[in-house]
Amino acid sequence: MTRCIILAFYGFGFQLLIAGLALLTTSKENGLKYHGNPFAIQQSGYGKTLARLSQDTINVVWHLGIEQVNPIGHVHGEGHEHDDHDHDHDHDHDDHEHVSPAEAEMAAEFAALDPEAGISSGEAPDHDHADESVELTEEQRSQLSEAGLNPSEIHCQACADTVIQSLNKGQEVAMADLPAIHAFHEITATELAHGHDDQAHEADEEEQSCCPDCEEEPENLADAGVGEKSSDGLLLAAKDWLQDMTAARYDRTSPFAVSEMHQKAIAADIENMLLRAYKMDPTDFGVYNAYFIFLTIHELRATPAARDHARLVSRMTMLEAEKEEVDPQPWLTASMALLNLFFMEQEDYRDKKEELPVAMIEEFKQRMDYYLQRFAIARDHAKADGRWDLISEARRDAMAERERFARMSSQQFDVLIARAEDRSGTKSPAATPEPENVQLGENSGAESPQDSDL
Amino acid sequence: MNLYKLTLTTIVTRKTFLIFAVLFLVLPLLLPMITPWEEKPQLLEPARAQTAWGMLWLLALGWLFYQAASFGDRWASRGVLEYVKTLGTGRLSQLMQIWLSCMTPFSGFLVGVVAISLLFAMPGDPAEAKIWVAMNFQYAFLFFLVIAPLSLLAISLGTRLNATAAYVLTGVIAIYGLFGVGYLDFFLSQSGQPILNFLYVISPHYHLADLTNRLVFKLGALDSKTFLQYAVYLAGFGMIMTGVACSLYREKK
Repeated sequence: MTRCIILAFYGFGFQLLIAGLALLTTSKENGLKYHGNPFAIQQSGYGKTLARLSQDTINVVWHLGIEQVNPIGHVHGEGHEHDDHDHDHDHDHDDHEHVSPAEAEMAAEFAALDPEAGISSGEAPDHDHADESVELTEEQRSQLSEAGLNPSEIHCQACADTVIQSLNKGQEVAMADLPAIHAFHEITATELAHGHDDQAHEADEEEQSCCPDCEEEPENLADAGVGEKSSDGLLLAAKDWLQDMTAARYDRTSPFAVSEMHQKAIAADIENMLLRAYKMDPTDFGVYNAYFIFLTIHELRATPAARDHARLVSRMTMLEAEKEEVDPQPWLTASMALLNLFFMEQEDYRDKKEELPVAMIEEFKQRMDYYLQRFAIARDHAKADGRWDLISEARRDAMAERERFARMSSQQFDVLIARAEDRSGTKSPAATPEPENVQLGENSGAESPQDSDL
Repeated sequence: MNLYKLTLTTIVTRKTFLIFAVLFLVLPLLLPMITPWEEKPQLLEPARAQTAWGMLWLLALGWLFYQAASFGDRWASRGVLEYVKTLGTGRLSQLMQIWLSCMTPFSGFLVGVVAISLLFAMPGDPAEAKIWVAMNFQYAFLFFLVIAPLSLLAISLGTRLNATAAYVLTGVIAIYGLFGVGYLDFFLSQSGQPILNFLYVISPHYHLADLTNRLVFKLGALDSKTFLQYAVYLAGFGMIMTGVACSLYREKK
């Protein structure tokens, strides 16, 4: 009897299974296809939270990735100009979001157009920190000079100490590493000053980069950190100890250069992190822009295939943002994605030594205006519903800044269209000198594939 | 129903389910507050349903299967099963009684989750609300078709192996069906080898029962044809699992 029941289970089970499989595999879209979003984490509310939370981690890994935190055998940076990119560890920009060189360049141009406008979202690209006094002995100066480093370019005393320690250990330090080393100090100092306040992170990650403390010099910050430490004492010490141990896993003790394979592995790790964060919320400006920049300027990316992928990512962001009805932010992200696409088109046309077609610029302008309009509508709705005040001030400021940037871009499109029409009308480009300050993104992306080795 | 009463009393006496009950009352309402709901209040309600259903999957994977495996192991190794056999309870009856006792409190959680989803995440629009109810019932049914046979398997494996081994095996099958198949899908798209295709087809596609996407993004209920396909497939797989569980079950270790 029992055996019969078991056999019946098997028999019916197989029949149903085969019937189900036949139905599923012959249905219009393959019914067995894996949906790829278990428990709907991606793009849900939790996904959005995770996307925001992951930005800092990715920034740290990207900027302070093994080869830069421990600048040992950093051979690739020789001769590279690092000064032209802005990774937004400048503390006056929220969200730790990256500003692409293109945007930074454009911002500088806008600033030139309208000196009172003072664009801060894409801070002018000169990354000149060498304004602090660095005390060095003659011996140390000559040691630095021998290593091919200019002592006056070293940002602060902490940088100088790190570089000299590295040189003493027989490690190579390139000029190109100096900004990264300085960024590392700044971040460490900021963390100290913030007393590792995780709650502040959770409350609003943006606020961490917007507090006035961040403007202080690293030494002062370190002092402030000491003050905090005495109050929290043991707990912080224990946390630091654990974090140091974690970091020690990645310490390079080998005097040999970072292998190419390792660099590729690090780049792949960063790309995976960026992609994961991007999937969590494609409409988040921070993760979208970081991913875009990674694909377009990282020394191991920035290939034609990666550029195509960056285009795809931008279009995907725009598509996803266009579905948004309530939150104003995705519309601004879409406008930034549109601008990125525009810069890519501009670079392509410049490479072909052709002018951008007026129709194309007009299309970009129309789209930009549409996005801005949708943003304004969503924002006004939020204000009318009383939701606007619930959004943190830092985030609202960030939106305002991004909106202003997008509006200026829209105006800039007008200038470009007028100029292009003018040129096609007069047909004498050599005779009419181009106004310097309206060359939208003239240099914006030209150096982008080469200028950075993030 | 001696074995049913004995097992259920044991579960009730242990009181572990009370901890989960409290968590189910609190977390679906609290956890969504970490989403950026200030910017988009519409995130809040789907996140409640998402949390509740996610917790239910976790509860099944983490607690139900272990309960089942441990009862299989315990009753077999302590001679309880042999004793009830002498009282005239057959093998299959024993298996079903243990299963039923594990499923009794768990069904309460299943009902609770559907209730949370209907009470705290119900759309305001009446037409949409109707779809929402349908979606939740579809989800509950498919979820049951996955979880119920796996619990039977955990019990049977428990009567042969020890509790931990039985739990791990069952958990691995469930996790493979929920997530692992996705990786296989990815490899398939890269290679397309017949052996991988075969492996893909015979794998348990438990991910079909994960309708959280439909809830969170309000994609609407499955159309009846697709729902029937899913149900037939999962029921077929479940019956084979039940057959395997019945074959593996034994009273004595």
